[in-house]
Amino acid sequence: MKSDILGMHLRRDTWELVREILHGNPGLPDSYWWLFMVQTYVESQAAAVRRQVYADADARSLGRLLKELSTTPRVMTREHYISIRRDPDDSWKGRDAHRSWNTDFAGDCGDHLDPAIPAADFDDLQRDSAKVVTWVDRHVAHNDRRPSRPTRCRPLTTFTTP
Amino acid sequence: VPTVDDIHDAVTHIGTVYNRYYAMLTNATSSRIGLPTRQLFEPIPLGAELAGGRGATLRLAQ
Repeated sequence: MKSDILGMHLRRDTWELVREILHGNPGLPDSYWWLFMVQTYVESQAAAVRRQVYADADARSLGRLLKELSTTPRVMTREHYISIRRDPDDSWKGRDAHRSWNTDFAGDCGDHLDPAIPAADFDDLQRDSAKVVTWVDRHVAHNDRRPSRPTRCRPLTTFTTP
Repeated sequence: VPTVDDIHDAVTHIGTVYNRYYAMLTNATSSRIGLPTRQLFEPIPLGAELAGGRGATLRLAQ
């Protein structure tokens, strides 16, 4: 999961770098390469988003992690959270751990993870990724009969594609 | 149909949620995914393919 998510960010970083290069070189020639580059980037990124949102039982994904935490919240306790942050030489770290637990994870439960928190994160992730996931399902993984326009690409407009 | 911005929004969302739960489960903050990313990617081995790909793109663009 970590390498997949890191890969998304690394690809985006590379995309932004290339975008800067292209904007700085407006005289680049027309080429199929540009279309190839855009399509490859969009499809690989969108598929990676889908992989992490997908949450069936056999998936190793962020979506699956959130779903499992929402159904088994007692695996994550305040005691464990504090224990991996406590420093006998620094009492501030212990107090900060209590504060962050209460702020981020305790919710209405107190001593174990509030299942409503990962459940809400899961729902938000599904909702915010829905457009991308639907497009992957219909037009990357399959060839749906319903029509689809090409993906718009605002940033790379300093050249024309064939 | 998603735009590139839609995809980037989803990537940002995934990275943000991942960071929060990664911190909860491991306390290994030094390995977090960083947003913005460029500086925080420096410690990650990029591999020869990526370095070659960037160089090739740069040469093509110039």
